[in-house]
Amino acid sequence: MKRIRNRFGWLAGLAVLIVLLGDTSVQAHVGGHSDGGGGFQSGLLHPISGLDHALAMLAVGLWGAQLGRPALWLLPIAFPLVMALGGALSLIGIPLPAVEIGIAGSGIVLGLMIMLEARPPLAVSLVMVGVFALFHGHAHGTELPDGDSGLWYSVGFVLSTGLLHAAGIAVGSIHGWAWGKICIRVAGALVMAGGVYFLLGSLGWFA
Amino acid sequence: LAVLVAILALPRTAQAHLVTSGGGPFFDGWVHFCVSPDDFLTVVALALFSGLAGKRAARGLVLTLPVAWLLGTLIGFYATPFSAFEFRFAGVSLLGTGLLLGINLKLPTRWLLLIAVLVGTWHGFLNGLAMAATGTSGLAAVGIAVAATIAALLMSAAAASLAKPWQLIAVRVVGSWVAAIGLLALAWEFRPGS
Repeated sequence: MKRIRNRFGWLAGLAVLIVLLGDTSVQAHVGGHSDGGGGFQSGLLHPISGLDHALAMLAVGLWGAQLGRPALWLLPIAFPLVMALGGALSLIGIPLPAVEIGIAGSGIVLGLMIMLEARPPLAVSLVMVGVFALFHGHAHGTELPDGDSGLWYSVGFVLSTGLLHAAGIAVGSIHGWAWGKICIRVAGALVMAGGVYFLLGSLGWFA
Repeated sequence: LAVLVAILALPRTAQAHLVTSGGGPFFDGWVHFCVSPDDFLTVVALALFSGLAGKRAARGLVLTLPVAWLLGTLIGFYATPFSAFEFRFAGVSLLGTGLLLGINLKLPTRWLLLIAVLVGTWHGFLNGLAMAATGTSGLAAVGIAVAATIAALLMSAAAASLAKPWQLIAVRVVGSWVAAIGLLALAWEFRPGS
């Protein structure tokens, strides 16, 4: 257990570092690829500024930690790639139906999986995470501010997403203890509750 | 990874031409490489990939990449007939090298070195085009090549020395991140109205 804590402790530290450094005034404008400044910072802050996104990213890490190897590292590898695919679809103008419902659904389903400590076959968990990643990526692509540098936005956005997964995995490393297992399942229930809240919001219940 | 994050998160104002470091064109080239994610991350991914392939591949990369880079810069610098075209496919090499690293594809060393030559020449070519357009000193190209060599040396050495399974996985995760950045950057170039 101590080895696991050491293994992921630096990832958690890095997540804190990136959040702290993300508050700096970045005006990246790199030759030939940019239409304006600020892309890196807006990309970095985008996944953590929306609670619906942040909860799902943390949940992927938590679920990975619950499932153990190889899901532990396959889920965080698959998620950014499929999410980038979703972002790419959005950028080139291919619409995806019910994106907001899909994002809220990711919180509900992932939260439920964590709460029940469900262990579906690896392929099933990868497909589930992949489908949700598509929705999240599409939303990120749609919300890319005009005038920002696309390349720098992508760097910040992927880095931030990856570090949220890492934070989820780091927190999930308490799974080795009996009380830790309970805490993670409670966290899953909270993620699910958040998902329900966002689903109701996207259906106009709080309008 | 921490160094990468710190470099990326530094406040900065880069320009369409090379960044003015205050230390002359050589260091302008050096800084340009460090704040150009398309160049920097491609070299990082390629170097980590060659490091995972073993010491022989890593050594080969460190020798071939800068030569190819300088050659590409030279071609780009004098390729005035082509400079009217806009080369904006920064995402291609990011996506390619990121996927190679993420998958950890086992390639013969000569294939890996061929990829290094292609990547180095392509990125050098783009640098050369930009330098010719802005009248930048050739010394900046040397600065870029030296910075690329140092990055390749450090990253490939680090990857070659990894032994624990979780470290190898962390390196492959970096590959998937680079590929994701490349995919998004590529889509950005093809978005309607771009």
